[in-house]
Amino acid sequence: MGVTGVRRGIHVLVVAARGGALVRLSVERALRTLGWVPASSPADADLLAVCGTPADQERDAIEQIWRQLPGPRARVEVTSTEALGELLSQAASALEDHELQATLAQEADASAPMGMDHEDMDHAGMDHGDMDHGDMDHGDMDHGDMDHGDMSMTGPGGIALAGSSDDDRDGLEMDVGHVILGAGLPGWPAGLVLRATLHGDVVTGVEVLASPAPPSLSDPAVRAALLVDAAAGVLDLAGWSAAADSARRARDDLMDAAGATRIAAADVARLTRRVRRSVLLRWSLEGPGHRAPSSPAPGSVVRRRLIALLEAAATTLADPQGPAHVPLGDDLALLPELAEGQELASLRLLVASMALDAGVAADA
Amino acid sequence: MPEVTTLQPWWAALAPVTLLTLAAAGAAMAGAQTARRRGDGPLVAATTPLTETWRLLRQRRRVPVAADRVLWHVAVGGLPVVAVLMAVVVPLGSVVLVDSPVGVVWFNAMDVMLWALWWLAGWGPNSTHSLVAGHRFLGLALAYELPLMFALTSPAIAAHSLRLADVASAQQGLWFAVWMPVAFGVYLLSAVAFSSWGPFAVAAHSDLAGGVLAETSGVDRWLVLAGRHLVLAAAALVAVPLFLGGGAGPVLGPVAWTLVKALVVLAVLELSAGRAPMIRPERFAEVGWMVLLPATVLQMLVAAGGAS
Repeated sequence: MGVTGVRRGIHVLVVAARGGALVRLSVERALRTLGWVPASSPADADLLAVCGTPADQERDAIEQIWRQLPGPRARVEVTSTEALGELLSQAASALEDHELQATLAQEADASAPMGMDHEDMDHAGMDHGDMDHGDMDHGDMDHGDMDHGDMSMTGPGGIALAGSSDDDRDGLEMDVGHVILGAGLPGWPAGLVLRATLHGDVVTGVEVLASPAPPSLSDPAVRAALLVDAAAGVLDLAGWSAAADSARRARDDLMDAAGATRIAAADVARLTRRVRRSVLLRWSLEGPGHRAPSSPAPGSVVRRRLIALLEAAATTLADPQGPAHVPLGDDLALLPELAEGQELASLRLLVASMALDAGVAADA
Repeated sequence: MPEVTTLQPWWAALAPVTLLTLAAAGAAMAGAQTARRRGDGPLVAATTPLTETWRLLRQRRRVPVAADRVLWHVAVGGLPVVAVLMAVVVPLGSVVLVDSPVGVVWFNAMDVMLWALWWLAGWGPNSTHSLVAGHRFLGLALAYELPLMFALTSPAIAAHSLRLADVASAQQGLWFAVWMPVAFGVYLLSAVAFSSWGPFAVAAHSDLAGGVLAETSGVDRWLVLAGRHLVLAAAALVAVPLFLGGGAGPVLGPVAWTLVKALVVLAVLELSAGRAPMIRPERFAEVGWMVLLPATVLQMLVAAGGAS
């Protein structure tokens, strides 16, 4: 119990439903004030915070995520920013409610994989593992695919084994798998669902199963906040959490009040310089640079976009009447081409840099 | 040859406790840094390891479908064990738990164990993200391990001994860290890397949904997280006899000096977190093989020249 009466250090998995990006921003700001921590996966989370109103298919995915919280666990569905503080403190007390937690634990045990929960199994099966993030979105769809796809063999526990492919780049047997990437991953855009084919850890194909619905925004401060938020997401995935935290502080200031806009603008400008100058970031994302010039180096795409996002935020703040979108010149349709041959982690960076929550890639 | 007394075996019970205390201090430093970045107060910062321990020990453990439980448990429980095994050969003043004549090699063997443990931690939960992260660690390990081996060899060559007490006492005039800066630098880099921490946190990073931690909860998660701080603490302790003159120093006794020096090294290791973007194994491989490896070999030659 902290000074404020609410426990600190609760780990929260923030899941944004399609169109729930703005609510997510408010929730994340509230978490920071409470001293709560964003979780990196369901296994890490005490609390599931669903932002926005999920559609039916998303609801299935969210149920799957909920089942993966180890417990003690609680969930909140945030549709508006009103009474957010109260919702969160209720969730915190639900975590301390022993009777409630005992009931939830029994529920969890009853549907545990060992109890042969069929639904769980099938979903889990599909991606040779990942299951967790994988299965939660559109599980049924995949399940269907899988059975007559290249993963028809069934291994222990009802899980499909990894398959093989004729055009495998390394010729290894049984390293082809599929993952569904969607809600619940850190920094993932609200509403986007991808199905990726992996050879080992290399992405050989990406299919967009559901696209996000970016919000239409009139307030330039909020627009800038979403752009900075996207940049924070990229920085976080790139591992530079000090810079990501600076970006999030600026974002929260932008969301707070009109008065803080000028301070936030200065912070954004400073951060942009820091990011542009970082030799390590350039090296980490782009590499030493002797790649064939014909193929677009996705790492440099990520870095270019990251800087463009921050610059666009600064421009939006300096000139609120200016154009609403960032001229990045790529959109979601280009993702499969960019992602092919990349590592799974690089795909995550590419997606984050598209700033789909801010509606950037779709606009450009 | 310096006299160190080997302690009776029952003192071994104190080793994990001491190392855990040191690791807790390290975790508090890292927690304080994170909390400060997020805008929390110093009180919250200092208690982060405790609140996190409390949270994880109450959390239920969740096991994914068809997980390889045995190997997973080996990995999860192995991290703290390897950390303690690393630390037992370090002389504390005039006493040591295991006065190994090949202490340097022992430490090296333990750090190679981490290859297996991180990979198994990725394999165990039967999850794509974890597995990819486990393999990614192996990629990093290929880049740092050989430079690390040469970096460990330099002090041993200069001291004409693989026994840590001898290495420490061979630095009467000048610390090895001063005249073997390359070896010391590579040692620190590798310590961060084999702990999968800071800019080398390739096995447990958000770009793979937490990597080997993606499915890990409850006490398992605590063991991995604590194990990581324990390995960092052990590496900091070993650095003291290897590079920082052991317990030598004015006023304070040798035990205190060993701990103070270890704390300083630990602070450097722990506070590397979040300061720079993650260094991807495929990038670091080039640096490891083309820059660090030749540099550490040269360092070894310099050490051999200086010692003869």
